[in-house]
Amino acid sequence: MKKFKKAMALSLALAMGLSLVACGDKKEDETTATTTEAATEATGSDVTVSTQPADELPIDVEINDQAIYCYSWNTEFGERLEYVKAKYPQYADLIKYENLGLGGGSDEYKTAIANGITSGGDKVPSVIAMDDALAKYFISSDYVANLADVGFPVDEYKSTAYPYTVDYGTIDGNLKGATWQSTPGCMILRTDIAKEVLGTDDPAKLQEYVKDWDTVLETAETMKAAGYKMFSDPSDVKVAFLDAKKDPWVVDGTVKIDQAIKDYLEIAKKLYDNDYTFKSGQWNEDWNANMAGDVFAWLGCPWFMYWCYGQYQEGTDAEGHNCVVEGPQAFHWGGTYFGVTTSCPNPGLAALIVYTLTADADVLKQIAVDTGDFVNNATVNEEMAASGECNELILKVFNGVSPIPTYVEGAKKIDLSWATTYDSTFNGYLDVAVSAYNTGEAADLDAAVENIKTQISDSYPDLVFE
Amino acid sequence: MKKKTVEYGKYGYIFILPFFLVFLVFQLYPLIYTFYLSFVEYYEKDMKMVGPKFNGLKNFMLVLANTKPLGGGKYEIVKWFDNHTVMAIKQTLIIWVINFIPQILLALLLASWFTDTVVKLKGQGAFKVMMFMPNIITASSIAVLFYSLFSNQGPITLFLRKVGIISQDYNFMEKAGATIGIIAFMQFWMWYGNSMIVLIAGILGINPSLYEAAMVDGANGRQQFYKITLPLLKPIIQFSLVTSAIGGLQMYDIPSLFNVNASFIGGPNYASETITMWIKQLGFTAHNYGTAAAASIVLFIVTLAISMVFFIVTKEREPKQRHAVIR
Repeated sequence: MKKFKKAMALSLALAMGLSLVACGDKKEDETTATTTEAATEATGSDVTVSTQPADELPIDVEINDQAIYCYSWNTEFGERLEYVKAKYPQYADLIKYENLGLGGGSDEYKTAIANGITSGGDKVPSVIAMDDALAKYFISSDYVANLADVGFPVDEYKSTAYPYTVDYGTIDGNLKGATWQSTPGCMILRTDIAKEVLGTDDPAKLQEYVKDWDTVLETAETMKAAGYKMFSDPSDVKVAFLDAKKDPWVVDGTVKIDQAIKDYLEIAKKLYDNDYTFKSGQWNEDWNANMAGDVFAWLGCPWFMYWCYGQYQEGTDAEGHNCVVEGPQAFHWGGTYFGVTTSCPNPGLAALIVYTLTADADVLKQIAVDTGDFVNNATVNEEMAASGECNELILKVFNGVSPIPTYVEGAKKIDLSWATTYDSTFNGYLDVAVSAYNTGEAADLDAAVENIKTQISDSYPDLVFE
Repeated sequence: MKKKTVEYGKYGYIFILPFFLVFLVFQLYPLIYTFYLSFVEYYEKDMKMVGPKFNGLKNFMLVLANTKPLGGGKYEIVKWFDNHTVMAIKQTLIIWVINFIPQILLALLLASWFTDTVVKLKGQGAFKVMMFMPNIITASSIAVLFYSLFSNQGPITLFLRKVGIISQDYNFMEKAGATIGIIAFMQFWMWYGNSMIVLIAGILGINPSLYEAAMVDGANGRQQFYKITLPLLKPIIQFSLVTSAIGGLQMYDIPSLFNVNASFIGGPNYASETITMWIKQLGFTAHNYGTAAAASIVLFIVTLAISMVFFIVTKEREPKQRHAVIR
């Protein structure tokens, strides 16, 4: 009996403990959340919207009196909604905003949205924000409606949006995701360091020092000799190489390791071994501090300027000593798409929100000037590039020179045909392989590639390798 | 005549009902469901859920062996016990062992000092509070704190480099041994105060007359500790060992926030990826609920086996009495 009791007590204790394993966790994404929060604090909620109210609807939809809920992971979408409310004050009360406060690319966000849709009710998600990393996932599901079906003027959107954003938001020929921003990558260079080390601060001449990756490494050597670092962390260059991929990670159940992945492993190793970086890691305090420190080059994009770079340089000696060049290669970095769910009680209003934020040229221009974002409307961007009009903070960072012309060039060259739903997960495995190769735990390139393959086959036992 | 009595027994059931409801819904059901999931094929492919479909022990094969897909749901086993699940269990056990041994030793030492009737330490309350304090701080704060201390540009790293104890390019975050060691230290630092309190309670439960008798017989402190305290404390140590093993195998919060990359994978090169972190990767990142459940069951079996071994090894061996003692 005593034995039985002991065994019983033990198994109950185990049952109690182990069932916790089955539970999900909420702790992760703290780093992302903090970065996001910090970034939002800077841009702040002090949005002053000066859009003129409009009486007539620009699109042909019926709007009923049901309130709809817009879901996102931070305050940004909420601030954008203020533009819609200012333009259409008659619907302002019907537009509600839910900030889930999760990581935008996290599994938790996916789950929260899916649960919200399946459980329904008054607060059912109607318009959802979808991070670049997850947009493919959301628009592939049946929960997200074809934008044409809700009355969104697809052709008007397509006429001004950058083709890559249209392709990315389209599945089986139907547009299901639209975005207000385009995120062309560029290279930010510090002009004060350039003047001292390279003897010039002319962007056109500086582009010659970063025109391809071999030249970047040569410049890195020069920087090192002068006591500066080329980048903050070896993985800073990752975003560019991910976009250089020709093959998607997975084609019909077969995993492909693209040459660009191997190139990235090699160049990161060189940046690491030769001490061309501070090895600071990314998205942490050291990395943020380096933005005003002794780092010559950063890979950037429009949101990076106002969420990170401009913010961490504000008030430092480095502010104003920056220029933007195209860098060694075109790429994109992040972005937020909108989708309308099929359970939306007021599709017309949802379409109006998405239209106002992604295709209404006046509002988009206002957003660009107010926030420093680069909007997904080629006409607006080209006008702004020609007139030199730009957000004040951005102008302060770049000493009065608008980076928009560089963005305009970059946005034309983006190609996302390699995107799959596996990307964010596999890129995480790539991160591990890169640091293993850098530190020598993976002895050579083959071992590093093998590291990625092992991880993929352990996580996805059904995928085969070419 | 019948005597009327108030039946109080039924109130007892009402009072324990909430526990059983919570237990059934949040513990027993998930447990049974996990067992069920481990025997079915249930995963996400091209954003659609596949299954659940019964597939026998295949999930267990997938989490216990290094396999190669042959197509059509068939797999070739490359090598048994050579994949991430097995590696993660090994890693977790290593971290637990290097945290538990110093933890229980220090806790024993402190507990015997605090309960020493001859020395009678002053300010015991203050010491106990200070030693228990790390346990009150949330594990995630401790992990983030230690990360900022030991990161590549963290103050401790910079100091040790300056003093010359570590080389100029040494980075704790890039060394598997250092990362595991620091995680084990955090666990140790968090939990030794707790073990100490448990052991003090155990020692105080020992009949003081035993110590008095021993002192009369001329036993010194060391003899008292080894001949009275330790043997009578055995059940408490056994309890600490088993609860710590169960908790240790489920270690999640500290390693998942200490040295992880942007995808929350324990670095460097998966060295600090514990089994629960890996189960989460399988279940919630790769969306393969079948293999994730199978990995959970493997963890359950390993935990059960380890606990059983501890029970058997530390079992009281009462000498069998062959003859009745007649007085």
